[in-house]
Amino acid sequence: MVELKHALDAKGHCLLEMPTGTGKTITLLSLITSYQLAHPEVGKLIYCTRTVPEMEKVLAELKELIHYRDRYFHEPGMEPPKILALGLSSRKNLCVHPRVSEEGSRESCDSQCRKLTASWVREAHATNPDIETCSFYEGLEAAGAEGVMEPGVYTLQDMREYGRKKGWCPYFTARHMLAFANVMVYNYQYMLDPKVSNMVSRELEKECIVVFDEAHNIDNVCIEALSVTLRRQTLDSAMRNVGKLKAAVDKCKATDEQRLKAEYQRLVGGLQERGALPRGRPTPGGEDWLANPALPEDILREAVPGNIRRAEHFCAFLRRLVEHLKGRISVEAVVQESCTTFLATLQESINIDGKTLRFCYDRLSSLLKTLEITDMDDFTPIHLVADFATLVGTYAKGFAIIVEPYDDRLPSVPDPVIQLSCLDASLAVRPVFQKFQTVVITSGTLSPIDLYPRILNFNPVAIQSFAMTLTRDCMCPVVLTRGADQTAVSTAFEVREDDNVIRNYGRMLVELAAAIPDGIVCFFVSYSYMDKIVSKWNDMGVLQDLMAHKLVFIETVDVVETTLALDNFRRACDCGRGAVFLSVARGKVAEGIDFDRHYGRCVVMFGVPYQYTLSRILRARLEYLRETFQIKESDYLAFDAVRQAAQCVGRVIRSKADYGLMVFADKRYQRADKRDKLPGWITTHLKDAHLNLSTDMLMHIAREFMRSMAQPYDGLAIGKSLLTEAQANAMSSGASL
Amino acid sequence: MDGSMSVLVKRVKYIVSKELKVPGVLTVTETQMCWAPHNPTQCQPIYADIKSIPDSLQRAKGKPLLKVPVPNRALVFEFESEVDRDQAVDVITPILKEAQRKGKAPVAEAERPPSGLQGPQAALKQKLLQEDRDLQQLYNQLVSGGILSEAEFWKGRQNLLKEALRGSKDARQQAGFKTAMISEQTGEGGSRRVTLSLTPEIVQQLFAEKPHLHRAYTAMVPEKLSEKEFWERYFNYEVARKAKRQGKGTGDEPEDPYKEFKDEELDFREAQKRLQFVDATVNLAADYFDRDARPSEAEAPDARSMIRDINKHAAVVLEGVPTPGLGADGGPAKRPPTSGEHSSGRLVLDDLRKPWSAGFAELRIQDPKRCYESAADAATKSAATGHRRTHADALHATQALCQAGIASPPLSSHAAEAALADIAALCRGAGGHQWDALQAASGPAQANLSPQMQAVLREVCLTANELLRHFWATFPLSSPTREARALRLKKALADQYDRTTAMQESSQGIERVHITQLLKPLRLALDTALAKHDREVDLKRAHDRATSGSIAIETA
Repeated sequence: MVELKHALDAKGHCLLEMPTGTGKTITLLSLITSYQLAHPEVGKLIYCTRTVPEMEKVLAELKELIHYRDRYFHEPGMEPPKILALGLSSRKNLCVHPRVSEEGSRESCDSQCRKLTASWVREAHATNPDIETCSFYEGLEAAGAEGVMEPGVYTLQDMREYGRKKGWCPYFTARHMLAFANVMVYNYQYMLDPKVSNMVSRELEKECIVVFDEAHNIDNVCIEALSVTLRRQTLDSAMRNVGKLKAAVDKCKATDEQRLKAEYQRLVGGLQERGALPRGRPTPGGEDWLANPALPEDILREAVPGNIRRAEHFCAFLRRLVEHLKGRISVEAVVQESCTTFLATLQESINIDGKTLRFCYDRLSSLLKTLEITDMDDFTPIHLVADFATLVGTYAKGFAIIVEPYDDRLPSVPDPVIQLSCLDASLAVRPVFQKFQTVVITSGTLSPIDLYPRILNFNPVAIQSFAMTLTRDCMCPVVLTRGADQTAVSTAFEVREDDNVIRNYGRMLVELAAAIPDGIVCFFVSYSYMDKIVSKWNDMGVLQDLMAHKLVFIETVDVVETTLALDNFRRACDCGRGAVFLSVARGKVAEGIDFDRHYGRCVVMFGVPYQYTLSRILRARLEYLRETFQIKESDYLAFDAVRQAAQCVGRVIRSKADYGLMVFADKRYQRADKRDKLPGWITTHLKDAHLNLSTDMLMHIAREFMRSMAQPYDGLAIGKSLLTEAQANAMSSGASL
Repeated sequence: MDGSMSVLVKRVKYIVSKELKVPGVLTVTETQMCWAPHNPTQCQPIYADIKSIPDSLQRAKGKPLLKVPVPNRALVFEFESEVDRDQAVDVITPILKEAQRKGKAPVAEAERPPSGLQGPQAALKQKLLQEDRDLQQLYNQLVSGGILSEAEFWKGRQNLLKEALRGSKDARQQAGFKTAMISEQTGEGGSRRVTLSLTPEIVQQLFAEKPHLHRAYTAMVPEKLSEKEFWERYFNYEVARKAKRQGKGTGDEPEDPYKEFKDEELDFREAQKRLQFVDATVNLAADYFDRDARPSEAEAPDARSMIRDINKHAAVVLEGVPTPGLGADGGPAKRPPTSGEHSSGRLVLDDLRKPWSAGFAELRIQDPKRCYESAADAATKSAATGHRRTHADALHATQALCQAGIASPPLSSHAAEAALADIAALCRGAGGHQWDALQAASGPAQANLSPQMQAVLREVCLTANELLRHFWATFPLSSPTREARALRLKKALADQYDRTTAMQESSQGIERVHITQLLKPLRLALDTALAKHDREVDLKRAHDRATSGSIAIETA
């Protein structure tokens, strides 16, 4: 952890690759929180995770850490240091309002909440008590400055309980406590997506330490945060939204013209300057959901252009814009252009210039606020359009606009789509690097580690890839290239539909299921491939054979169903029945769910999880990478695929006492150009004898491995990798000599 | 006692132990042997079915003793003389032989655990009885005594049986659902004819996996469709769907015949409900709600529905077969698992997890007096609110006084002493024995009673409580059977009541105080029960009269 300490001391960024299951999270947490105590001038620790389950895990570990510290490390006569740590999530996950929390989706929950907590609703409530408000929000408001949480570590569940107990809204309490907390844990998006980070992460001080955990995909997240996809349906509903807005403006004009005039005056002064948009402390009301999708320093601090200042003019402007986009989406062939050319045509055909576009999002949010509209989920489409417009207007470089008439995979189904795709991952992450003094990027798989500073465009003061010490060979990576009948197996495009390959994959899984206890996890290259293979297996009778050994659970695109399947999978492993979980690399499960201990005794990676290479967005991005960073396309693709595969197989080892078999089932893993992209902690365990296997050889190795690993774990052997206090002292005194 | 003629009535002593011989009367009829003590406080009457007694009665040499083996134990009676005993044996043996001959007619009768233990769990019940003396005593008294029926007796003890079933070695491991998917068993090969045999288990599994099928079934069978038609329609669809998927079928995608019973909304709510129990570390839904929704990849609808089926199937298999109802025949319950069971039970293969501990707290009444008084207090509470108010006022006043701070005690110590003496005298006057008893006994009342007495008291209480349980279960008296049962139980209760009275009256001195104290809650409960019955009967009679009256008027 010397490197991390150096980076903290040097107030610089660092990039750490730590193998999975080596206690990465706890190390980071313990060092940084201790550093905070030793150096009070250091700000908060902002711990960003990929998923909510990970967030919960981090908070649980932190809780344990604080508990440990309270017990052992406080000096006599002194109170143990108190810290406040909490997780921040969406309303849907934090709400305790009996009705609102029942809402089925994030958007409807948000909008229901706003209906109860928007400032105008609350004002109206003051005069007319029949108008419903949220008692929890009011409870927090009533507490005022007293509404401060006691120090401690709060998971989302704890937050909800705390909120219920106190009668405070947990969501707004968390938002409020942002200023007081020592440790905040939240999703990447809250830091990287400018729309969200503007309202959450904006007032964090410069001295904060930001950690991105499981950051191997960080470039994709950055790109996602700044990309917009518009479909024909989106545009149609956006048109309806404009109509609605127009009606609302007219109504407002008839009843309360003063309000529109006041808004106009504000806009003359410029949005930011006049406080039309939240600045500084986020407005405590429910209306702070809008923030500019562009990055903070890119927002012009000047008056809104005159042609969209008046509400009715702005409506007309939106109508023209949506009409134009609808025209553009009706193409026969794929069109790809840059933002500059797009703007030029826009100027030509409907006389809208880039500068006006830039204000589109802020202007829309200002209007919605003035019109006191609360059911925001209805207005999502027009938001997307405004989002699109602002991004196009703001950035000339690093973006591509791609219009496709249909999906390449389903050419018969017309599904036109306009995609504004961010190509440069560094755009979204740049403000984070600029603003905070220390940013730590870490993951189990950051190989090749020198690629990351290039694609994220930053200069770390420390780059380190750590090795792993193990007391026994608890990892067994193997490369399977042939089935039992010696046919090569692969998911390469030419052979993936081949019945032989599918059957061989299936028979291998059945045999593994017969030999391996408890849980098995499988990863496929995509949903569509998994659907196909499951369907085929079903017809071939493979699935039936599999079910004779273990229960089968399958990931779907429906998160609720997947969650329940996962929960059932775990219970099946807990009760000894054993189960197989079929999942997708790059899917939600691969991203954030651990299959540690008996939940995953074996993981099978079917194929090499390449991205869909025919995607135009990917091609545009590859081109950009080649031009800007001189990264070869094939290199990037292989790197991306292998890091996904490594990530997937890494799901099964979560501690030194854990063990798991890792099967890379594709002949392409045999090639050196794939293997050398695997992280070191896998390649060191990849024995030559475990390469180029066929199913029967695999079974032999699997049985042997399971037998040797299932022996009682020798507690004494831990001494090799875990130092006692005396040993550590000896080391440090040796170092100082 | 049944109505059959008694063939023998003899004065005998029942030998409980070497020290304790209880004098009583032995009566033998053609069906039953009964011994009743002279003093009902000393011992319980014993009833035994003649059929359950083997015909080999053992006589002791040189002593007027007779050993009568009854189920689970042997009764030893002391006759007045050997002659007396031999006469009795001569009378009894033919009756026993006769009974044996009759009883043996069906062979199973002899094999079967004696005294009418029936049902598939007879052996289990037998074991329970053997292990628990109290239970056996109760059983002998109530069931053999004809007060309760066998089924009634065990009805209240399902949990005991269940536990025993779990613990007993011969308990079969509960069979779960088969892991193979049912829809996949339908139809093999290219033949057009598919024969399926539906077992209750398969039906149950199908219902659990496809709730809409269950809804359809309950709505349509047997009014609109016969059971056979219902399943034919369904499996025709399944087979066609499978054929279609394999590319063999022709024509359009087959349509689910019970489509209209699908309720996405209900399924969704169900799923939401289950989400709450999901471990936070696997809750992807929470994660999904944390970020902007992204358009999801399109899926082929067929594969999707199949994957959903597979997941659902695995979930149902994991959920396991609902615990079979132990009530009737030990067979599987017909009812498919409901949503309630999903969420509350979280059933994972029953034999792999710890049994649910019964959620009861032990009721311990250390001081029955206080319990009784508090109960009485609660009863009169509504009447005495005014009274309580004054108490509260006084308390407030006292508190106010304390706060005001009195410099010196308001009374001189002499006066206080005098007051104490007065109160003490008053207490003494209130009840000499009670005072003595309470003074003498610092521990609980039962510590001051002889062990025999305690045993008797305990047994009385157990019996009465058991009877009370059954008695209260008969309310409301909505049917003639219930009324009859209530009446029967009431009689038994009244007997118990008389017994307690007799016990109280037969005891003397301090013992009497203790017995009274111990029996008070029981007597109170008996009083309440009897009063309740009288009230109910009165009400019912009044009601009957009213209705019959109105009918009479109408007819008039």
